[in-house]
Amino acid sequence: MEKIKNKYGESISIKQILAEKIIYLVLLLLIVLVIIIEPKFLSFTNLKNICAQSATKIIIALAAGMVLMVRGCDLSTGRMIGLAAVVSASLMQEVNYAYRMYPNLKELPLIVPVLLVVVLCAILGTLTGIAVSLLKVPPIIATLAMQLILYGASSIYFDRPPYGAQPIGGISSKVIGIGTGYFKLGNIQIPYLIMIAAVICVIIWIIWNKTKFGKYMYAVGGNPEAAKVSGVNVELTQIIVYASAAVLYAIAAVLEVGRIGSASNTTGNGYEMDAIAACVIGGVSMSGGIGSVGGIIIGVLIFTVINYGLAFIGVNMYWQYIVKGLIILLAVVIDMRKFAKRK
Amino acid sequence: MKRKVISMLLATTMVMSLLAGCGSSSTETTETDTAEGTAAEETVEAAEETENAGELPILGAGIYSSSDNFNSYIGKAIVNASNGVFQTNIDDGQNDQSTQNNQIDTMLAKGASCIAVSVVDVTAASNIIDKCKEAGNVPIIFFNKEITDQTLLAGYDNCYQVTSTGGDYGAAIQGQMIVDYWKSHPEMDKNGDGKLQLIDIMGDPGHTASQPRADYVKSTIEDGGVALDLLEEDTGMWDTAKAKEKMDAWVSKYGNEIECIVAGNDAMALGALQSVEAAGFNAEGPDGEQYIPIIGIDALPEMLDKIESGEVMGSVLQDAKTQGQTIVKMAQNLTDGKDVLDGVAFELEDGAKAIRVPYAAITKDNLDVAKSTYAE
Amino acid sequence: MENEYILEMRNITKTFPGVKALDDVSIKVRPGTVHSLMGENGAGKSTLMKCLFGIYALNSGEIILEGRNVNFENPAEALKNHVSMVHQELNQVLDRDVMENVWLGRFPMKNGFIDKKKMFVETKKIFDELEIDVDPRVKIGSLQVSQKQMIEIAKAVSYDSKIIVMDEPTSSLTENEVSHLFKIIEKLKARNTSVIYISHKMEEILKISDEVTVMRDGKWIATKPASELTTDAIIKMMVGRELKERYPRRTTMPGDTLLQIKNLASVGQIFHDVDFELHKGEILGISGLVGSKRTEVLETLFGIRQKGEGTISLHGKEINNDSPRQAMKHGFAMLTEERRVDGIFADLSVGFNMIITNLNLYMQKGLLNNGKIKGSVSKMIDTIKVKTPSDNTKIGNLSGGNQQKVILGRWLLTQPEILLLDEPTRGIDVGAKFEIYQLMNELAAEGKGIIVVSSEMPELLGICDRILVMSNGRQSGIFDAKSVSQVQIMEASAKYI
Repeated sequence: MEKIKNKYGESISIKQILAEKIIYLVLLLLIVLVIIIEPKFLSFTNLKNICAQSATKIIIALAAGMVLMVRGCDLSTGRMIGLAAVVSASLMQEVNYAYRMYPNLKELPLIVPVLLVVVLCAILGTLTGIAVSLLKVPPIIATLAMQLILYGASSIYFDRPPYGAQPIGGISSKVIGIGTGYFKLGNIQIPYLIMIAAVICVIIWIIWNKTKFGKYMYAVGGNPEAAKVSGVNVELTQIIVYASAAVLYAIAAVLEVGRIGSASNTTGNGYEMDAIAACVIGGVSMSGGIGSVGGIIIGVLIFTVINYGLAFIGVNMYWQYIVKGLIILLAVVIDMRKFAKRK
Repeated sequence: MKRKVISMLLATTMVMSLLAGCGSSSTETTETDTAEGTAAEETVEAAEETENAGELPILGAGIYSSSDNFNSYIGKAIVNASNGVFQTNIDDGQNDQSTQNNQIDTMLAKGASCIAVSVVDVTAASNIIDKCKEAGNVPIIFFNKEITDQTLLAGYDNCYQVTSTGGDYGAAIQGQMIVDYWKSHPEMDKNGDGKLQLIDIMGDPGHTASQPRADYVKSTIEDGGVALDLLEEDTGMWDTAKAKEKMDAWVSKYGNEIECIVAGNDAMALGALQSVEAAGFNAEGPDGEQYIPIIGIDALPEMLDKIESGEVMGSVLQDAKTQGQTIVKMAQNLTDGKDVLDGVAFELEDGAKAIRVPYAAITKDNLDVAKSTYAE
Repeated sequence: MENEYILEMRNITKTFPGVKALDDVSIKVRPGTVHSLMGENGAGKSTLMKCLFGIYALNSGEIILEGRNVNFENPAEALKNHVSMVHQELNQVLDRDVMENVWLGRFPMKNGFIDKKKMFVETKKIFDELEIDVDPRVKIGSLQVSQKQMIEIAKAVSYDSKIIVMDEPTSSLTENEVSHLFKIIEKLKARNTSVIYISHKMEEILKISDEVTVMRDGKWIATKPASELTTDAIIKMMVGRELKERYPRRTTMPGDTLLQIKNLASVGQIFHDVDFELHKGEILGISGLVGSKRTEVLETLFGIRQKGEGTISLHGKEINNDSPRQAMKHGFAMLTEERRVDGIFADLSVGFNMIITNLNLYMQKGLLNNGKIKGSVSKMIDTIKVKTPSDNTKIGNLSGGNQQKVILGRWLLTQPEILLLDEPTRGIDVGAKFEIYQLMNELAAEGKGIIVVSSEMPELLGICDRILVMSNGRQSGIFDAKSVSQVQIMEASAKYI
């Protein structure tokens, strides 16, 4: 069998590399297939759209990935985003919009609602973290409970006079500008969303790879017992993970409001499943300790390309579900094969 | 020791927040127009008012899912209209029939004098009717989701339904609006081929209204003598973000070839608008350089705003307020043993025990009609 | 045509990422004989057998069974071809009865139902032949380990096996049980069945084997008739050098008092009345039977377990180690007993595993500095002679001895004053053991205090200055390692039982 050296000087077989990277091949194959069916797919606009659509999802997936990495599993993702979206949207409506939630509210500087939801989510995330780490509630239960609480809370906030249970619209043009505007570089338009996501990715990368907290996160996920013996404050690390994931959700929620132009109590519904699926496709281990920023970005991109590409060529909607399901299954099968017994 | 204290605190906080959640939702019982107030105040208030309202009969009301805006809006209208007439609280069926069945059992056990419910699954209606019969022929009014099996309603005297007109769920009106626009605006046929290049964004395929809306809008357009060229038809799951994502792809693919976008609800229409505006359409209204007429259903406040600015062509009003008022009036009549239509502005449909509240086309010309439903 | 060999494994090579587990190994097994495999832990014996049995895939080489070239995809295929394996860990369904376990996966059927009667008769037949006195209808969970093992062998026979691999079959058997096992092996030989026998026990090997193959570091060393071998000869081949010096010579003497423990007891009195001093440059052993709470003493010193009573004084000053972090601040380091459970981060790199306890060393402008990390990791890899392709290799891919060295390296990077080592050489081979002893000596020479818990008495006698003996949660004596005998230690161990 053919062998090559990897960057660490270990020899690995080409077959092994293929097995590990096959998910990228799948992505490539999908793109090629879409292009064959619809050559117009090959355009800068589509690339821009795909990246812009992925932008908030990447932020969300990174947050969900952090939680997976410490052997958690966050089911409250979508509802946390929903709450942050509803609260921030209600404070970011145009002053002259007819159906304002707070008709007499003066225009607030953008930073006020953003900080408010960031702090709110940080507190809620800390509570989840405490439940998981100190009270030893299994993550899936703690976040499920949080999911219900958050949905109730955001619905109560949302569904009240004067215009209750209506999507909160009339979002300030500044916010819409962030969500849909772009930076012009010659002929190229770079959406602000992509730039914001890129900055956040860099920050997260630094945190994961260059800080003590990041290393502790991998350690806690890799082997909590060993981490404890190594002097890592396992509980604190878990709490910080849940809290910072929540902060990312809050930021993503504000960006979603800008992107969509409205918010309701259904905003964010089901995002946790997309996020977890993207993480899994991107190589984050469901049993903790393994995962990278790059992998998660690729995972999200694959998901978006499927969504966007299938809609672009006009595949029957029911088939789109089947294709998505198959891709997730494929990703996990490949992932499992890496650790399979017969080495 | 420290850890124990923290655990206790946390557990208490969590329980409290749960309780607060329950407390606030019960304020819906009677609260009408206390616009703003802290949660604590509301809870106290609710407790007091519940006591005062001890004399009033109970209207057991349930919606099928709080994630459906229109559905919960009828729920809200029922609560508002019940003020001083009934004690009522809206149960959320959470899109699960067994949950809803349990809720109905509870309502009946509490001694509800009438049930008003939007069923999760229309085939479960017979089961619910049986429950009401067993509980002493408690009257029941179905709303929003239409019970198509007329024999069911006929089989129980104390059973009626209030829905919007027809099985088209308002889509025929959408179609007619498009036909009218096509005829009055020749520039709509951008490529001059005599056909309407249309994109249809459907709702959740699992929802009763999705497919009929998609079908009726198309058939009405063709019946109106406009040749149809359906560019794309796909689901936006009733959701703004998902509709926008699909639309991004299609705007990129077709650009100015698109001559009209029709969406199964306003949330998706607004998503589509976001998408086309990002691609340089519609921001300046129909007189702008690039314009694609967009039309939705629901007449949400946000949508009215966009119709007013010209960014969106129109929407269809499904009158939740009137439906809620009608349901409560009928419930009152049934409870008091009066004629069910006493004081109700509508007639029963021929040969059926159903009241149909009509949809209304909303464009820039008649925005006031829609706005009035939001005026308290 | 009759083959001289029933099984030939030729030039077998098997690599795991970063580790060559088998390197060009060949063995030949004659029909109706016992062929023993010997070697230190990690020599590749079990890996070789797992390749035969279809659990691992070969990288190269061929397997010839009765003249046919075979390469089993999975154990089921191996069984079908009359090759079976009695594993070290018995895989049995404890809640089902004996005969179901024997016939699991291939129940005799009649009219679409399991034919219980036939199953019973067939099982009984095999049991009688092998003189196994067990009722096939009892639940397997109610049997003793030795009986369970017999049943595994019976199962192998029921597959009509030509070759049965036995991996450490006697490790949990009493002497009587061993002789019963040997009787069964003789019967198997009489049936012309070959046995491949893996064991560490020299006497057994020499008694039962026809031929012996010795392996070392994944390589074939020699195959010889058992009659030509002696224990010493085998050891020599296994280790590759004469093992006169199993323990390196100590040259330094203990200095001032470093640590003073008075009346130490854990919360709940799991152990109590532990009282000793540790000097600079001293290696103190803790001996005792399993369950005598040796590990618990170390855990309490390191803050993993809460202290109940007593004082810990460092340099004459009383300290409190309420958590591992606090203990680390006071210059303690602890190598835990269960490497896999609370030692290594198996999926993470060697480098990560080394630096995780002392990240502060590598901070620069608030961020971790890769250069500093790399420098210090590669220096440590050299110092303690970790055999690894690179610092980026997953630690899980290294051998046990090398994993242990990495973790030792992790703690050395924290510059500890006191090292607590719990079974530091468990499950690692002789060569690596020697290197770890040497490291301990060097550390002691630097003035560090070391406390080592071990179940191997010769090891403690060989490397320690003094030996503390625990008995049933109490300290039963401290002895000078040079003058104490194994018997004295055993007596002390049993003092409070």
